[in-house]
Amino acid sequence: MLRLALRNLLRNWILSGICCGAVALVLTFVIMGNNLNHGSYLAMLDKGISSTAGHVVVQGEGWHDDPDPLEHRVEDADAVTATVQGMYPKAAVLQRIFLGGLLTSATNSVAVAVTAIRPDDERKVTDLHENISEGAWLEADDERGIVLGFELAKKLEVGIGKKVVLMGQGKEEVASRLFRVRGLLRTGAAQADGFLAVTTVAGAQDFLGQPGAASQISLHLKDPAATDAALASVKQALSGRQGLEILDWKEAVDDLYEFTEVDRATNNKIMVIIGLIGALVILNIILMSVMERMREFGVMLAIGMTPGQLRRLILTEGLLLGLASAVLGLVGGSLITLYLVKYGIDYSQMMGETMEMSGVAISTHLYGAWDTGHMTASTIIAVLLSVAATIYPAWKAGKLQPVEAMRHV
Amino acid sequence: MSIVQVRNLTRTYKQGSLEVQALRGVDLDIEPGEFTVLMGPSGSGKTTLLNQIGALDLPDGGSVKVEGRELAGMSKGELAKLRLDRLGFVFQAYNLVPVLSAYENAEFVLLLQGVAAAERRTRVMALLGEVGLRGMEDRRPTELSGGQQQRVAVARAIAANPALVLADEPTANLDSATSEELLDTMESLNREHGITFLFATHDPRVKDRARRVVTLVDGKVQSDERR
Repeated sequence: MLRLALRNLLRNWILSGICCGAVALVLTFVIMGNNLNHGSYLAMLDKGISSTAGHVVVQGEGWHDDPDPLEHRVEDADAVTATVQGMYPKAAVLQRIFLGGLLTSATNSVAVAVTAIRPDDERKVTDLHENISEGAWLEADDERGIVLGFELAKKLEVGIGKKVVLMGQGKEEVASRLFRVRGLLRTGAAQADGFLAVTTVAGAQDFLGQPGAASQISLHLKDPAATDAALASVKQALSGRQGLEILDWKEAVDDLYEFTEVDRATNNKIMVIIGLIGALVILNIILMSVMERMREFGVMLAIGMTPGQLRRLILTEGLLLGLASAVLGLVGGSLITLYLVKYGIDYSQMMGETMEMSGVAISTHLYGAWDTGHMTASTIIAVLLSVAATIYPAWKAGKLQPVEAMRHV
Repeated sequence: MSIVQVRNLTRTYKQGSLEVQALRGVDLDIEPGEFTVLMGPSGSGKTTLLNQIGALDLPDGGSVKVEGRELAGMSKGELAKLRLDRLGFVFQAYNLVPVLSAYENAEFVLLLQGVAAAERRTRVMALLGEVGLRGMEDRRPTELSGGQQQRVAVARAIAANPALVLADEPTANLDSATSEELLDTMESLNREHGITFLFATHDPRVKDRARRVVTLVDGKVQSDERR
């Protein structure tokens, strides 16, 4: 049966080749497209995780739902940081404070989002310091220094060395604090460039009147796959402390995570449609090839082949075609992915150095990443669709009456 | 027991609004070991009758029994099994599977029967030798002459040791000498192995060799002559 099916395919090798090539091409593009998307999602998540959270975060209880630094904070942030750092001495453990306020210069006022960091630790995780377009990055002990998004600086009409005043809700009453502009950031993300101000944790603690407290302690692992184990360990180690929420990155940056999942699901739907178009091509070709061989099938039925055996023969042809296409498509997709993983695609000529997706600025030089689960699933689906596309022709052939079929010329 | 028992068989075809009565109450028995020829002018119902006996088509009325089994009421699968195990076919246009070699065409029915590989090889090689195709086992149908193709068809027809071989105009596409050679082979299979043959033909050469000639006219048996 297998031999006969194979020869039937080879007999009309041009038609089989077109069919096989079409499916292989679709699979190649599906694998390539998905692996490029996968790479972008990983870059985006990596950026989102590193700049606003970590693989595991320790926050004041209720912070995730209500990010108000006055209401929800980690008291004694240094002790918590030391505990987590002690468990993971090689990993980066950051302290951050996130707050909002009004930044005022001599000429203008702009509502800003302030991220307070420890500059030396931040360097280990984010590339903010590399995005300084003018001036310098913050020094570790610089309690009065502030770095502004370049668009924000433009709105405030301030430059390097100029004074700005941050105003906002302090512990008891409205607080204000003078900062001096040390540097300007150019990240490519409108949100960051237009509204972000970065200062040191010490400066923010003083502004809020909360010495020793932070909004978040984040653990940044070298291997994200170790997140679940790390989450459990950190929870265990901090179980004696009250008023904390300890989350993994999927919960901490859930908006971004959901965005990637929704986008992934949308892409999958598009790929299913492309797959179905591929299946229609096979259906058409197999149907043509069945119609061409009516007389032959009539003879086979006449000499004793059962309709079931004939159906299996045609389904086997679909299976062989599917397997050949899947192998070709998998090889093609993998070769292109190899290139994308190593060299990527540079869209900077078209889109500038960075692009913003879901509030996160990622490089426009996109790299692919191996999504082996998706590759396996796509390959299996390609084979199954090839077989599914032969069900109707097989059913039609099984309905043939030998005498009528043999009259076909 | 007769291999074939046909009783009051009728078959009508519709051609547009026209009804053609191809068989109008045919009675016929075929006994084991016979070498019978159905003769008659075109349109007399020879091929229709052969198709009915070969379980390739179902009647409108009457009955066809093969080895005592009534064909009406059998499922497609049962009819296929009957054709595979008990009937052999030789067609005017050879009807070999073009992608299979001479050997594989003859082997095909044994494969469908699930015969073991070693036994298949022995039987098919012996058969091809018997029909005069030794050394041509690997040739595809396109690499064989008409006569050689028809010999492969004969080998395929008798590979499964059928009770009856039905041959529809087997010599119609062959020249005179090739026809005689093919008929020699079939006659010898009939005489030496007792294989029963039923032909539908116009060819007087086939008629000359027959030991029974049934003549059909307008879908009815006009004469049944035993020699």
